[in-house]
Amino acid sequence: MSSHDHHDHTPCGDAPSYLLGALEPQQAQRFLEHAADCAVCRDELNALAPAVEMLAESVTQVAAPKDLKQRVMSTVRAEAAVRKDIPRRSSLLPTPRAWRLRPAVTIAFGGLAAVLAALIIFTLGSSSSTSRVHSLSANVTLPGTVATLHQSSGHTWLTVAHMPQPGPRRVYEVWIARGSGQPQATSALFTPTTRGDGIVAVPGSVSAGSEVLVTSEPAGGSLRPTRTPVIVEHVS
Amino acid sequence: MISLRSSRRSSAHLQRLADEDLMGLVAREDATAFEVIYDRHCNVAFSLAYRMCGVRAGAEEVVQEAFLSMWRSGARYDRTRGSVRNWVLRIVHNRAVDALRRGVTREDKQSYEEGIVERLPSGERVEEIIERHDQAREVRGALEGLPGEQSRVLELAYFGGFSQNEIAEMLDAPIGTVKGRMRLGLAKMRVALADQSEGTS
Repeated sequence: MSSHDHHDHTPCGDAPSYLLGALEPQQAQRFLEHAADCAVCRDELNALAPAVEMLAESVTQVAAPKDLKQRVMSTVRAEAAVRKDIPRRSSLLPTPRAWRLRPAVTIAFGGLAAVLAALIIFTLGSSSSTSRVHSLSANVTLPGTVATLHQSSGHTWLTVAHMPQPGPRRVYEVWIARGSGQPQATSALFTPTTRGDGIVAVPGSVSAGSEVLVTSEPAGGSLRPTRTPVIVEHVS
Repeated sequence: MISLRSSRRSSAHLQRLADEDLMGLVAREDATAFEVIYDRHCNVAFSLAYRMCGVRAGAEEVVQEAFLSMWRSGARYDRTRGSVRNWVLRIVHNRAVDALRRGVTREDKQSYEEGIVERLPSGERVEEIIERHDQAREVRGALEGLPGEQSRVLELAYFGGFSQNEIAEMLDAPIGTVKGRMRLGLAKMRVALADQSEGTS
């Protein structure tokens, strides 16, 4: 007989699932918040992460197709040739709201289905609660979608609920815009679950005065946004 | 159009750099440095993507997405967070799980022969390629040494992209049992590989 009361199970002990990418976005979110305050879980993340890295390297080794390199490198070279003279950010973006963030303990987070390329950072920290920021400027074009930006001493992540799929061969991409600068691409690409949940780490530091944006892009992401942002989160 | 001669010349210099140093150049949009990164890690990346997706087209798309994402966010790689290879594989794994959860088919439509010499010249020296193959076999050996219930859970979670709730349903087991098997399986993997690397039998 199996019990699936996954709505009330404690996140403590979810480190193995988290590392394997086997948590649903909401569970992962709960686990991240929990791990901020739980040395046992942080220790477990530290201890087991190498084993997960081994799994990645355990597969039968085959050669990547040659033409794949050409497809990747032709795009890379084309983008490298683009000049860096950057126009000011479009005034289409809504006026940002300022939100105050309380400093909080650094947390550990690693790879997840919807979290791209966030490497595991294990920190010791004094205990404090993580901060949560709700944005009123989000959902300009996605009615019903709830987006929440979280920050914890230099680590930033975004959770979404009721977010529609980006469409066939498309993905949501996370950008960071600093000051009056152009949004910069990040490695964070995500697709919400069919239920509309998603969680994505925003790699790098997102400091006061930054904005975190989300756009729908072709699969693989883009170097510059090709669409108006669907989520804009201002950080102060 | 990039002059082939100049790219070969600078490429020879770049090939002596460590991954981490190349990523510093990638952060400044150096495409030739990125090409060296691609050459070094494309095979291990594709191997993981193909293992998970089971079809060539899906695996190629995962790898393409992953490398383009790395290229566009090269500034985000942080060497204190681990090796570039682990970073690459983490991105590939995430993209592949995403693809699986979106419904990429896992039927094996094309088989690849495991080969030692993978179309040299590539980004790795022959001894590195051999070591990678040996390492893979070693880890598979450790996986085979696990109790079946643990290796099955790891297989479903890591390679299948299933959530722990889905795995619990598939195996008709309580969530706690599934979590326990993941924990034990990973812990045993770690011990087994540490023993091997220390030369213990």
